[in-house]
Amino acid sequence: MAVEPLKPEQLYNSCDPAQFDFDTTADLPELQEILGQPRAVEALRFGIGIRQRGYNIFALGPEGIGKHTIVERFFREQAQSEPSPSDWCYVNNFRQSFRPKVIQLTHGEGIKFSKDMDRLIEELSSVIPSAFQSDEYRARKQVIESEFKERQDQAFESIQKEARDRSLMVLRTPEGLIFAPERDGQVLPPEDFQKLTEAERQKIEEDIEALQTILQAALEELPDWQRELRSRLRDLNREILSFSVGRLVETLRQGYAGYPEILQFLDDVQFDVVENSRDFLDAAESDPEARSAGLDVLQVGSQSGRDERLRRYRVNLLVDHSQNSHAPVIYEDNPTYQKLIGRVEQTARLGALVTDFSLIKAGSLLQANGGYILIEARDLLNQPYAWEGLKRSLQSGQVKIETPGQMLNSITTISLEPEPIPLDVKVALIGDRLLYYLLAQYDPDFKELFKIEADFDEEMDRQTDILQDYAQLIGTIAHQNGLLPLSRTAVARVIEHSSRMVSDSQKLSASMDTLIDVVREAHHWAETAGDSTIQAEHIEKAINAQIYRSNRLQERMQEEILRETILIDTQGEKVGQINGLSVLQLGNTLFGKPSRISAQVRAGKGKVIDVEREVELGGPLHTKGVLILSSFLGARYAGNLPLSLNASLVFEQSYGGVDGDSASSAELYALLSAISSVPIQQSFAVTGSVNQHGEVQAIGGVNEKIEGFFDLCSARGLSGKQGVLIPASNVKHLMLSERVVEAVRSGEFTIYPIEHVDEGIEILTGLPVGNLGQDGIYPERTINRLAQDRLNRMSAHRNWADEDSEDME
Amino acid sequence: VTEDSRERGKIRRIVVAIDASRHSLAGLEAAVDLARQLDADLTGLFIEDINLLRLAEIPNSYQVGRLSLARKRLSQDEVRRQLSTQRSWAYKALESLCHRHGLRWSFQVQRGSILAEITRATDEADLTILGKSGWSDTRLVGSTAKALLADSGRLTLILREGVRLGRSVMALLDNSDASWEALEIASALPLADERKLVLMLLADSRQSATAMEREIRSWNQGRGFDLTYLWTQEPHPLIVCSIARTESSGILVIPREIQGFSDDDLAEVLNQITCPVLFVGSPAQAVH
Repeated sequence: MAVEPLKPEQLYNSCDPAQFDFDTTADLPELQEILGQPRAVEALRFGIGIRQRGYNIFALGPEGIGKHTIVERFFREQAQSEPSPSDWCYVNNFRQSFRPKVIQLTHGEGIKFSKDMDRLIEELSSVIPSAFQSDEYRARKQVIESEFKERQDQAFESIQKEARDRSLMVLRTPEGLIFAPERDGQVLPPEDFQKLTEAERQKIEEDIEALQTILQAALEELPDWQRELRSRLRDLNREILSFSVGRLVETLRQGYAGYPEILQFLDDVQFDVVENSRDFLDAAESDPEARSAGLDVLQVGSQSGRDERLRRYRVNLLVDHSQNSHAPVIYEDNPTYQKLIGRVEQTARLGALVTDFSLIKAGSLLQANGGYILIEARDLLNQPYAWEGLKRSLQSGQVKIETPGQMLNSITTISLEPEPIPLDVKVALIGDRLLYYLLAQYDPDFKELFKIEADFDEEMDRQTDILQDYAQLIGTIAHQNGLLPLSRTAVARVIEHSSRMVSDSQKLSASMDTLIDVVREAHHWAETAGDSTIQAEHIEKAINAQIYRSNRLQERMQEEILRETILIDTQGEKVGQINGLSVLQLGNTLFGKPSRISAQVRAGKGKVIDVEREVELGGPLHTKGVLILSSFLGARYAGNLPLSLNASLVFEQSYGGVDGDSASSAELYALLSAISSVPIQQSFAVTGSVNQHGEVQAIGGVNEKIEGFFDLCSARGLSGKQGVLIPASNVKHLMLSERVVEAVRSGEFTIYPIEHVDEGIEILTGLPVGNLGQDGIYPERTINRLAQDRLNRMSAHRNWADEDSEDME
Repeated sequence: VTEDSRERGKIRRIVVAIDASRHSLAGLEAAVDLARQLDADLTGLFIEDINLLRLAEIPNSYQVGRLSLARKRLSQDEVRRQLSTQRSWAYKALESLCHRHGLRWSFQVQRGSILAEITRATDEADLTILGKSGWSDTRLVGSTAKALLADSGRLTLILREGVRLGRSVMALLDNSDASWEALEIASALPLADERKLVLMLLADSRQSATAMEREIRSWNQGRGFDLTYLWTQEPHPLIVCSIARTESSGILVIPREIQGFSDDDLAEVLNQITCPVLFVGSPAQAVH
């Protein structure tokens, strides 16, 4: 049953640079195909090809494996072969201004329509004032005005004459008009008035009263006259403008015969322009002409005021594809509700917030309409209402631009209700797997809207035929990132590091972001050294620098072990004590740490106490591992009898909780040592989980665990007896550091691949485990025999103790 | 008024009549603008109309509201309150504008006949400014402004509500002494950067107009104004107004005594024109 230690070449899967047929990656063409993601690529091809509602894509997978890049690349390739979609614009709704009208135009027509309308306004701004300044208009207006002015003046003149005839004068105050007795152009002094006879005073009062009645009658007519004046001037304006405005609009109408919505809009514009021609007059033109034309001066102001008033004839070109020759591909990096769906902006005017159709802004969904859009799923879900807004748009197949407040019916202020715009867009959400599965589990709409699952793998097989492509990929990314080319030895080192990243000598990492960081840092070291090529030593330096930057805690822990604050033996032997191995992850740093595990046994009812669990520091997986130990012990030593021991297991100096079952083999070794009273060599550390049959199973972080124990031994001085027991099924995962490999090569450190705990206990104790004889007894001087004898003694003690207790009862 | 300020074209003291009407507000703004540009002293003149005060003492005096048409009895208290309110408003408007522009200013309150008080004030001012009409609703020039056309001091600027003083100046000239005075005054007004003056020459023949133009060119030697000459044979208010509008004139300068224009014609100019009009008295009339 002797287990052979692993050979150095089993500890590290080197990449032979000689297999590459290039000197540097500069010799390689750019890699065009997607490497190592056949499932995701197939899903993307299908998802992009199928043009059915709901077949949107969720690209899932770990960070940094290029999901975004690959999806965008597929989108762009597909978009190249598709035509540019329609332009969209909003125009004023002259009947219901709160509900702007949407117009769809062939791509490139939107900007033309917008410019045509701008030009029309410009021409109207010239034509209308000219019409108002024309001799014909002035003459006809003057006739109308003169008629009314004369009527008004005559009325007042008649009153004044009547007053003069009666020796009265008219005085004006801010509030009104007063009649007063006159003498020599002045009001009769009061004392003179008093001197008048009663009859004279009576006469004056009667005259004044009579004149006041006449005045009141005249004033009553004034508003009617003014209304009539305004009406006649409006008719005049209409008559003068109808021809000139109609001619301009008709010219425009001919260019848009194929767009009934535009023709209707132009009709509305023409009617509105004629009715509101004053809006085309600026301050200089409008005053006094506008006022004399019966127009409201308060509404006529500066040039900017006029521009604002004329805005209702302009076009709000929401989506303009005039510069695009193919379907759009949009990446929305800030998917807020407004950025995604669109928004209706507001502007402050005279202290109030107002809005109109020109303040409607398109979101990225509309920009991508007829094409493709990429959104980071986490960013989307972090934004209030954005996910709801996206779902609603995809479900209804249209984009309705409204504020979130409107959507929730929580805001009742007047805003716009723009007509919805039909939506035909392929959406790709990009996120991690957890997010995908959570959405699939908890959001019933999700699977209806995102039927395509593009699952990106974090690793790929490290086969010889793929290495050339992988080298090409590294070279391509380096080139795209403006980095120096890599020598073939550097590429080989990167490939080795890639395997180490996924902790598997037969796999390569698909996380190109992390890998390119190493190359980027190596580029820095190469540049610093004045090299024109990144060499293997630069890669090595970059990897070591990364490790050094993040291993402060690892060093502190090892220091505490070396100072024996944390007790870990690396020599000698102890009963019921063993070195387990755990892995700690802090941020992106993963490192192994030895932990002392101890076991104590005594007679009892077969209960194995997991101290970690008792104090709630043990997780469920650890508890499961301990329960498996009980089962193993019972099956091996108790048969049909109850297991007559109580055992306790402790992770010594553990204060932060333990989970996982990777220490279960170590715990079993400690228990066997404690039961059999055979000491365990402390120069070994153990990792691996165990099943009920004693088979040792694979665990994670095997490289870090081995290196963690090796570094401790190395610091204390390698004795040649130290080593680590790992599951045999983890051998394929080994990508150990050079220092470990060298120590193994020189015989200073040993790594044993273990398939069964019986193999492990023999290495740890130096005693054979012993096979069960025909008589049901294990051979002398074997671990099993010693354990069996101890358990039998415990069983006898227990039976005796049980009888005593019954007698006492 | 000192002899210095009587120098040709010099305006050192401006009097503006304020009665709180919209026309007078336009006058106040123009007065502030000119005082600032010419570094002149500004006096706001508020007149408590003696006629109103007298009227209030006559029993059973009624006022008919312009909009309400209601008849309201006019009491002394009511008249005093109205006058007090207007005076206070006028003072505040003057104070506010003058402070804002850092002007030297004063405020005078006089009680009496409006025409008489304004005439008295013009004796002490280089320039008098008033609105086209007071509280009248008609577009016609008011009785006070009309009366001033016949008898007032050296310079009288009259403008209507809503109108601001422009920087483009047009002068109506015949070949009289008053015209030369008007030309001096026009050239002394704050002009736009181009120093452009539009001169409308009133002459009965082309030869006369050409002669006038020659004389004016000679006058302009060393002054460097950008002069534009227009010539008309027909002294008609509507023609003057039409040309002023065409030339976008910001202020029209007219000698009070000009060939072919009666006082009624000048009043008609005021009725029709939209820009402010500055009436220039003859030199003899100016020296009181």
